[in-house]
Amino acid sequence: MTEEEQVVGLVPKCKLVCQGAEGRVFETRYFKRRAILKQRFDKMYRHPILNKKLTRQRLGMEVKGMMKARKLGIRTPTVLLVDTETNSIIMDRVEGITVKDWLRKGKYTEEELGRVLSAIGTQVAAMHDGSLVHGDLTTSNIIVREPSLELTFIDFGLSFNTVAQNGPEDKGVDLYVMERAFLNAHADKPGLFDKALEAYSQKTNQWKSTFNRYSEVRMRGRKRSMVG
Amino acid sequence: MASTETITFESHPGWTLQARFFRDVTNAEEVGNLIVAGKLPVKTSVINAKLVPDVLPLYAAGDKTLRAHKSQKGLTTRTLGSELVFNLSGSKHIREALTKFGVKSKDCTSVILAWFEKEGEMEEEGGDVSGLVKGSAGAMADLASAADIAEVRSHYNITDEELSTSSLTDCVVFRIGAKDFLDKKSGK
Amino acid sequence: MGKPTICMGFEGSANKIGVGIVTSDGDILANPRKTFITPPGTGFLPRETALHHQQVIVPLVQECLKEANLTPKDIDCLAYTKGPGMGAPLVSTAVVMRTLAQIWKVPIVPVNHCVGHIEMGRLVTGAVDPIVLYVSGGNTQVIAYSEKRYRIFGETIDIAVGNCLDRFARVLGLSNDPSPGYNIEQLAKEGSQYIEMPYNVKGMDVSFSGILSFAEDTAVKLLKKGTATKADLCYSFQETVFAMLVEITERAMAHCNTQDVLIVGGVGCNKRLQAMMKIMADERGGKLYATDERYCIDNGAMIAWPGLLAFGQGDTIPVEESTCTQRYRTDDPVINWRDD
Repeated sequence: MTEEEQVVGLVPKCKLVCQGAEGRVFETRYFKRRAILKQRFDKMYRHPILNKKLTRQRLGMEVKGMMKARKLGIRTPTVLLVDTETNSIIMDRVEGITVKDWLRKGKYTEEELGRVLSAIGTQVAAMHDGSLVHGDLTTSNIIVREPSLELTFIDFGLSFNTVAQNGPEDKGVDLYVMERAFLNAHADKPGLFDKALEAYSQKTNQWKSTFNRYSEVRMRGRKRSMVG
Repeated sequence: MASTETITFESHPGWTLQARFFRDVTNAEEVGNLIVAGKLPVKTSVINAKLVPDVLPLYAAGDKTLRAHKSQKGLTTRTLGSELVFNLSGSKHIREALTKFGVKSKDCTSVILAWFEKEGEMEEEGGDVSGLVKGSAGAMADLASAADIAEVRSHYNITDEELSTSSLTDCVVFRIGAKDFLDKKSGK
Repeated sequence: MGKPTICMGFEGSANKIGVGIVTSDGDILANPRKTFITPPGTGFLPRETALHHQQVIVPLVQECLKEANLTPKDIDCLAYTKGPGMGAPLVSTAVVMRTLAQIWKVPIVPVNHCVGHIEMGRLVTGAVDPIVLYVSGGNTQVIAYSEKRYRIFGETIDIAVGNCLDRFARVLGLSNDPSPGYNIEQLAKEGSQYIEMPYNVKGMDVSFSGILSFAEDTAVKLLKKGTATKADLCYSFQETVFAMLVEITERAMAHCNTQDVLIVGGVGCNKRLQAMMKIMADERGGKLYATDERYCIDNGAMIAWPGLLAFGQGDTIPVEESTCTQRYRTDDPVINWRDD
């Protein structure tokens, strides 16, 4: 093993790729395939009971969310192993780059941009119609593979199944989170989210109720009385 | 002589899972009875190959088995051999797993023989019981063609939508690796 | 090298009214403030709050000048909170400012209340470009500076954390003196049992309506049954709500690749929140910047200082334009004085 490689639990040769807010991501080999090991941290600022509950819950939600997405025809990484001892998930390494990086690089045609945004909208609609809310729809959580422009969704740690009556609110919020994510990461390219939303509206069965709620959530930021 | 696939595990240096594929097996029922009678070595499994589309599920099941073996909690079943089959099934029900993936009935004609070996451990009873199986040697590469895709899909509850996103093997491996977090039948 | 410019700032957007004097060297010469406190179990309403402000503001201006040892002739400009906030109190404060501007014949600078908190935090702590968590009765935002604006990365999708704490205090019947949040903080120190409460992070945003409903039903039931004390509930409430804030702050930090964090706003006084945020910042190899109740809580100096910064850029307005607005987003004003 080189110096940059670590052992995580029982898995050797893990190379740290990034350290996000939630945890660490390593590259490694598993079952002879290129794999990613995602390990969640214990957060020392949290009360231990809360920490344990959240970490375990998110581990579970990530796995369940990915399975549910697949059943709705959405591509996700393949889970190879879940290790509760180290709070890690080992999954297939998805080929491609994040949509965030793809947009930043800017080496696409108008047509390709349209296809990718449309696919994002359509697939989020498929998730929502299947009562799956991703919970963290940012452009860093969607991988695009070139040249096919095939999309893979990742990071389902905040995902959940929405219960009937909360549906419109949960979906509206999910869309709002995505809109803000586009605005914050790609301030120089306005209109991206609108294209994705357009495709979403075409695909979903529940546009009216979701759109109403989404509009309301959007205005809350503007309308809040902001006293104090 | 059947070619033996040696599966090594990144997390378990020194351990291997040896696997051999047999087709046109005529005495599956007999072998199955030996298992039930406890007459096979503890590290050996005899698996119904119809339900195994690739070597990868064996990796996944083998890895989980060895992890359980090393853990404080230990195995869920009694032996490494049965644990392998239990994990392969992606099910939480031991009896169901052993029944479906085992080789009890006459119409089981393709069989995978798999046994764990640990470097440096010489046992009187080696795991290799190939001599017991009456069938012709196949290559592990033939697993895909020997598998009954409809049965695999039915057992693991793999839908068309899922297959549009991922290979059959990957769908199976997901259920093996994530078993403890998924609901039993629906794999939700 | 001339003599430094001096600004008097007026803040009265909620139940605190403050008048402060700051010099362009960053010296805070005076910063008196008065708070309108209502009886336990009640919150403050616009009309009574405005009346309170009207009663105390003129003496407050006099006190401010006296403390700074200055006369009106020394004041170079007046800054005031244009918004956001409660209508009547904002306007009551602005009316006095406008009158003085005309009597003293000095220019006027409008200031965004949120920007006031941020710039004051930067001045007092020395933080250069941190992620800012702005938490108060009316606001819960995670802010990062980029290209001449304070951009909102994460925020509450329903109520502000301060509002949530205030309402929780009301449910428990705690006193509003000196503030409900302060009393929750003190009582929490006596709590020992951790009671699980709804935790709601949605991407970079948070939602507090779930935990508030929980507090309003379940917490009350637990108190009646005797299974939990008020202290336990305060303790658990803080641990949960603050963990949510730390989480969204950390997400923004990871996203922007910043390791330092500055907490501003009334809820920023809370020592437990500061402690939890510090643990997170330390783990990331960054620093926590926080101020004390002089500057966390709404005050006049926090309006005077950015007022001066804007004045330095020539951003004054005529009296006719010195209006107020209840809704004024943190990312609306252009931050002219920053070059980075």
